[in-house]
Amino acid sequence: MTDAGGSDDALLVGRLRGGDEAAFRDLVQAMHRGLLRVAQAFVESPSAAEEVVQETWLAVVAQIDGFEGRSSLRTWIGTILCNRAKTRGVRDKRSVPFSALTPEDVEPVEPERFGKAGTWSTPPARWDDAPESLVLRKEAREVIERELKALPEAQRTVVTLRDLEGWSSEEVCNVLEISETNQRVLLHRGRQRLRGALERFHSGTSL
Amino acid sequence: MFLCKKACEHMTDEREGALSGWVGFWYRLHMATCPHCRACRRQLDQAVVLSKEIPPDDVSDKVMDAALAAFRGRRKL
Repeated sequence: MTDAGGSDDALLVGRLRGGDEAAFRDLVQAMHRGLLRVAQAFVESPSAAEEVVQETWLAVVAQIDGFEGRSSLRTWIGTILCNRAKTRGVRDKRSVPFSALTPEDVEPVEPERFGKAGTWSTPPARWDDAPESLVLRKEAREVIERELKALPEAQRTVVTLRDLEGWSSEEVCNVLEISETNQRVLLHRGRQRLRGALERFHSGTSL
Repeated sequence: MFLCKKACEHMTDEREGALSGWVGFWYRLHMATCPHCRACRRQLDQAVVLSKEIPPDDVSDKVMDAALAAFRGRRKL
């Protein structure tokens, strides 16, 4: 998938309109985690989120001929999902603006790690940039995965879309209807929490 | 002038190409002289790299079957 008007999108849409089932299956698989995460930010249960994702694919199939390429295919599908998730959220009485899903006063790095002057009092522990051992790398990845699940909803959604799913900042902002600055703050706070978890894993302590 | 706490707040801005002007100048100056903040930035980079390696979830049969059924139905139109 590409940005608005991209040739990859045009090619993919052409295949979908032509009835290429393998292309559609790949698209559903490729976008599933991201769509599910967005839906979960708006509805009250995992099963409701899955229903919203399912409804979204039905809508995509019904409306694919109307896709004009003014946004990326990912943004178009994401927007269909987001609208449906919000409607479902209202119906389930869980109508919370996305930007209100996370407290704004949480420090991304623990304040006690810095002295009064603002320099490190407990500097980051050092470790090798890339774990050589496959086992260690797998464990580190599992640490990240666990911490990701523990992130506040909005941070988790933005980090998932940007870092796991490879969405652009523009796509995330358009689908979630948040500002570029807000998106970056959520991304930064989420990533710093993952970094902290990784640091604790490498040092073997609870810093 | 930037100190470590302030520099940490701008590490994602740097990755996103959103640092400019004096903020960018003071940030880069600080990073050039602070090994602890450079270590922090490397850790942040590694967290991003590892995040990208998390395998995708499988689509449930219920969702995939419903989507494919709709797609096949469209093809017959």
